[in-house]
Amino acid sequence: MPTGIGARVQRQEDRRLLNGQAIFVDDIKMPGLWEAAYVRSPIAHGIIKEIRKPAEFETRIFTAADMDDVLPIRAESSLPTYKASDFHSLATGKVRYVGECIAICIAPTRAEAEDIAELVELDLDPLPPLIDALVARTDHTNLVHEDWEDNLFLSTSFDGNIEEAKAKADVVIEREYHTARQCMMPMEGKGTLAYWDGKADQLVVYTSTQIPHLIRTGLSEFLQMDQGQVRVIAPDVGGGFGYKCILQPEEISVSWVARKTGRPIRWTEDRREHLVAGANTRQHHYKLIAYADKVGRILGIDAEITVDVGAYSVWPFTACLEASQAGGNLPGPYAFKNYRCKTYSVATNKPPFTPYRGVARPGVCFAMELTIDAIARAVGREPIDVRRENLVPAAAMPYTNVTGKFYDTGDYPDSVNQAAKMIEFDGFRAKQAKALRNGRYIGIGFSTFTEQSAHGTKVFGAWGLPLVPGYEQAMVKITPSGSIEVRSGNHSFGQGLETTLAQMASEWLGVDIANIRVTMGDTGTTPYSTGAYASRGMVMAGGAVSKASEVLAERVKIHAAHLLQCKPKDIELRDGEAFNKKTSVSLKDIAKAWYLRPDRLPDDVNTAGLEVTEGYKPSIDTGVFSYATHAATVEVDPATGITKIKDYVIFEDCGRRVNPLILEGQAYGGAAQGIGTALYEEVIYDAAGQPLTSTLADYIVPGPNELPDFKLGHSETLSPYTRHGIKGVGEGAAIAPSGAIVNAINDALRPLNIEIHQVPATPHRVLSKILSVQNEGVSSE
Amino acid sequence: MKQEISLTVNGEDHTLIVTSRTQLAELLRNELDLTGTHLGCEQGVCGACTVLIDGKPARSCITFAGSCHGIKVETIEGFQNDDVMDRLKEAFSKHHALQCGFCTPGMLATARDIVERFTSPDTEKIRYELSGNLCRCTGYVGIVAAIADVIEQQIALGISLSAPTIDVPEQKSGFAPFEPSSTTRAKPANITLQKSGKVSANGNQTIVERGFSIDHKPEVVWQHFRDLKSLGKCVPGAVIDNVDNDRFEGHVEVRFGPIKADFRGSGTHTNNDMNKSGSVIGRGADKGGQSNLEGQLNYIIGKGETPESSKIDVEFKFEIQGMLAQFNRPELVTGLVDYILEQFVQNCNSVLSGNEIKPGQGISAFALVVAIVRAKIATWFKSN
Amino acid sequence: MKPVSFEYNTPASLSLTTDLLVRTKKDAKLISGGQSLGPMLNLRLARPELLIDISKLSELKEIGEDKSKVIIGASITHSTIEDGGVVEPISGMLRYVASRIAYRAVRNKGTIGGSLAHADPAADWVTTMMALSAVIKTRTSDGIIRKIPMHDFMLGAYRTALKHDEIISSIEIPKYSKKACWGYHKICRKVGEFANAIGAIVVDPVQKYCIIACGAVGGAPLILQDLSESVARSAAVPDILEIVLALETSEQQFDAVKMQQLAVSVQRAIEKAVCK
Repeated sequence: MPTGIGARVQRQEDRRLLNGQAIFVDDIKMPGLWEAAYVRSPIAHGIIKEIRKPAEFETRIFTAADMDDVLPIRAESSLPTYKASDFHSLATGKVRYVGECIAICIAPTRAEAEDIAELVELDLDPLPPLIDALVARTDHTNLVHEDWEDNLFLSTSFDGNIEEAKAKADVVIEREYHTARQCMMPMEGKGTLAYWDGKADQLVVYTSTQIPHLIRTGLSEFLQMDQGQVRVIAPDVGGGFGYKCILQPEEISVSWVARKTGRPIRWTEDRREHLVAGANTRQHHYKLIAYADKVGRILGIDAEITVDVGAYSVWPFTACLEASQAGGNLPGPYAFKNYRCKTYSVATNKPPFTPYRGVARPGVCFAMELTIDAIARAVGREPIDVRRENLVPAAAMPYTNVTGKFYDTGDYPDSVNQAAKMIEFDGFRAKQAKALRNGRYIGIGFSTFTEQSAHGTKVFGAWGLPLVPGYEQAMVKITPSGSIEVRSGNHSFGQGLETTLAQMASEWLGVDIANIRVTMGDTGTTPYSTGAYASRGMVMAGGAVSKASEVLAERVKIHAAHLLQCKPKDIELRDGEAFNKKTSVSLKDIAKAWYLRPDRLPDDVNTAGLEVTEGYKPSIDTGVFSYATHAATVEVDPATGITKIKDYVIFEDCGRRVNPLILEGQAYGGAAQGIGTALYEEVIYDAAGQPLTSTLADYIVPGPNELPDFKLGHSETLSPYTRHGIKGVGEGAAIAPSGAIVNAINDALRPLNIEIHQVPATPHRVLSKILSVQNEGVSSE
Repeated sequence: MKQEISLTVNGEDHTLIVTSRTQLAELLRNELDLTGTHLGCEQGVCGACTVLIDGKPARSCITFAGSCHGIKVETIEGFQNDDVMDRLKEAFSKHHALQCGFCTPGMLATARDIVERFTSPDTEKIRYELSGNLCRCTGYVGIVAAIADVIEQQIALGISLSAPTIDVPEQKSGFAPFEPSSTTRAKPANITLQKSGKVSANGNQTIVERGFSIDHKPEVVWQHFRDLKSLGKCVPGAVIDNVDNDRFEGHVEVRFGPIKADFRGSGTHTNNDMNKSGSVIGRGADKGGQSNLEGQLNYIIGKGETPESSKIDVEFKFEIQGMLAQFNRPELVTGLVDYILEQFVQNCNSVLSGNEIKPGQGISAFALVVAIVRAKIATWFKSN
Repeated sequence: MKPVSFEYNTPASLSLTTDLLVRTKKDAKLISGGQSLGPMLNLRLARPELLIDISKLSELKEIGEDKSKVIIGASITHSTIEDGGVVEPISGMLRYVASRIAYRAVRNKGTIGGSLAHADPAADWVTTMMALSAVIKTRTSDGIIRKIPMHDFMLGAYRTALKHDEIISSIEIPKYSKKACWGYHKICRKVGEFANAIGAIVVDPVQKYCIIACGAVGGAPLILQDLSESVARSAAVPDILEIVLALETSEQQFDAVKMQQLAVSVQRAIEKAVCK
């Protein structure tokens, strides 16, 4: 059975994971290994007056004062007016969020390290905390960074001609939307183990990361070491979602202590640390005015987006990627001409904002999709019709939208039709009316989005990042026994790249993936890669493996042709053999000839051999766009505010599907996280900036009962700009659920004259709105 | 504190000397090198650490070494020659029931228990039974499908369950109206204390205002209130160590159910003899838990309803920061305030009457500090 | 997130346990299933010097019945009850309630006595036992046995009538007639998580008994006496407003959402008992 592109094969990585044989950072054994625990800031904002170490543990505790040869993490940006922040790996001068690292303590066990951490006395002088980004945005006296004149990392504006839209509009919709701060919650938290390898004269850092090569670059920059002296290895990683896509301050302090003490040191993030210091994503606020004609055709959008980016700018993505993406992606799949948008990246006393699966788009999609439904209600039409008519039509492809996004291929309106069919939209209104007569509130909601994937260098460049992703390299080789080795500097933490990259090689080399070994994550053994994020793995690393495999296949064919006495073009590679019609020679024999019996090959043999490293970049530099429509039906219990998802369908198109089984898993998993965003997950802060959700009893992550049986449909519109027409899709399904579900809630509650504009749409939030409307007869949020 | 324990893990007997506080998961991972058992939350919620203890799934993160003597544990590395587990593993791979795989060992332990207990591949039931295991990658689609698949396989193979569940009998409902008996067993009265005053919040400060009376003359009560050592004795959980004019040092113990914290700090005590009012302001840090507490107690003593009694109005403001503050707010404060106040009044009466103060029972004045700021911390696992 | 250092002791009998409680100078804490205490230990919110394990004491594992009551030992686990391991005082109620406590892995360890002693306002057993008029049987170090009615047992959030050296030995639940009905409804954000509101009702027309209890309030579950009587007389489901009024007489402060959740949980519990 072929195991190349399109094969629904089981994953290569499953065996070790199912048998408990995977090696995560916390599983590594090493002689002399000690564990680290951090003293973290108990307050949101304050001046560090004194840190007192207990005398008996003087040598086991390190503070910023000890680490004087380390630079603060500083993410520069080329965007004008951007302000960089100094993010010290151990707090220096001030603390700026609850959970910020102040001191690192080491001991043979974690429990003992925590015992020591408890003995460190902090003398902190509290300052008033900045917790509300809308307040912090205009505050010029209370400053997160005292040497700034305000609390803005950056503000940007996109100035389209909104006056024209305003003048022509029949309908004006004005809304405010909020999305909550979230934690990404990979099941394995962050973890880092560092030691000094005397033989290699290298600092070796095992770390739970999506970007081993970038971590190497970052560590060497801020530890002021040559990159040759740093090796980073990402072992098995228990989920990432963006959380493990930045250089963490702990990665620096653990490395520094290991180097300083000459002892292997490990820190394993626990769940409390994650829920407090890792509360770093998704929090947006929108003020949005939509202008539409009388049938609901959008004439223009005027938006103001405020992102609560926390205290520091993360490396390498900066504090401003989120707002830049939000401003650029708000129009999404919709075709309209007039757009004005201001964005604010506001510093607050919260953990530094980190891009999470979907990056900015879950927020903008939520805002846009609710607005579409609001327009439809205002013009008295079905939201599905208004949505379809506003989408970029298939005939207009390729299409450059109002913010300059180049949509390569696709039929966006058709995805709405398909989703509507799957969720049985025909007949729903009758069902809904009948339910209402029985006192039951059911509703339906749709949400359509585009997912820019494998953004090219120009796109990243435009976001001003200190580090712009470019090409991707891969190495593919045939071993002397005829099996295949693939090496990629990208990394897999659940996406199944060990399988899908093998499938790319299998496609060209005709070798079953069982005989293809994929090595990733080790900067000592893999080509440079900026890593796994932005739905770039399959397009970029997959493309590189494909290209290297193609080159390798040509070389194999030359040898095979010689051995079979035919022309290379007559050779077909399949089932581990090279065929010329009915005669064949196995890859094993070809490899044997090359490595061990070159005397069987001609004198003028190509000495480049059976090992190929190739680089790859798509033929356009603006990303390729996957897209999807999600649709949900819900029932809202007006007595409790509880929303029950009844049906949930996804119709998506991500170009050529390499492994349908894995793609479906990405869609289900992404949608599950999106439903968490829509209904459950929220980091709550009190007025002092204390996070009140420091356990999993307080921060609710959806379990199997909170999630529906998803239905999934696909189309395959290939991209002409990538190898095999592949588009990235890892993030997509996390984008749409808030829009689909809250639209469905609002549809259900329409008879009560209630609209929800905030996620998560918790029972408390929905019920308090219902109660306030019942009491006052007005809807307000 | 170390102790020796013997236990059986994956069929092998082990005798170990471990510290009592070692979690079973740590014991497996660090002492026995069985790193397939993962720690996901250490709060008993996520289920990643689930192993079979004496054949039943249990959390190895909240099972401590001290309780492990004599138990039999099966971890993901075990299950040798276990057909059910083999089928589950194959089904998990076939249905793509794992992505990052971190939750998988705990998920399989629970899955095996489900397969052993349920005779039908009812996905709703499977989802319910799986609710104690979180997966962040798969949306549970493949996991539910894999478990249903294995149950179907077992049925097809005619394998009977080792521990089948018995269906709960159908619930009876409907009754004819009747006149309830006066001998109804439950006593209705929920104890209601005399209440006056209120509990409110100002920013992050909680303010409790209360009025109460004491059966002693205002002059006597005033002497008691202006003597900090005397007053301190009456506040359950507070100890005043040093008094230097209006400055003092001391500590308060916060106790609330099993939660305990000890705040040490200093403050000032000022009094106005003219109108018999005063205030105690203190600030302290928890020596263990990295939390800070600031509080202020204002009081004014006036004439009571009889010449032999006084009326006392108190206002207690406090704010807590740090770990103890990092939980949600339940509505637990009102009842506690009254309880503590009752104790305080009793203690004041005892002191003023020259009697000994009885030690409080498992709760201190500052319990309300925790009660108001902390989460359902104790509430999640409604069991012991 | 590891606990503070503590000593762990497993006495061989109940009397040795109570003796140890009296004798020890250490800050001691009893542990049975440890499913509430465990997370607090890991979070270092609970910081005992000594843990005394009572989960293995045979004296606490009694399961029995006589004509008028069912007896459940304090260290019987929720899953034992869920699986029908104890006699039901009223058809199916204990199994139903047990099956909805936390998660199976927690139910396998957590015990009914531990849950009652912990006295969490949002726990299932405290409200259920109120509605059933259970009696908590205890023993102290002097061997004194007390039988404390449930409504006198829980004094407030995490506060019980237990003395320092007193341990719950068993729970005695009156048996109800075959005509008895019950209803139980809890509102949670997620299966297995703490309840936002709990309503429970036990009605026995033969014994002329009707008790409605409401849990997940600020302290001990509330018994809604007047409402209980009116439901007995009407055999009908009261409207929300009537329940809200009943809850308001408790003098506890609830915000509008909490009040609504409590009232709905009570109403839905009653519906289950009343509807034919």
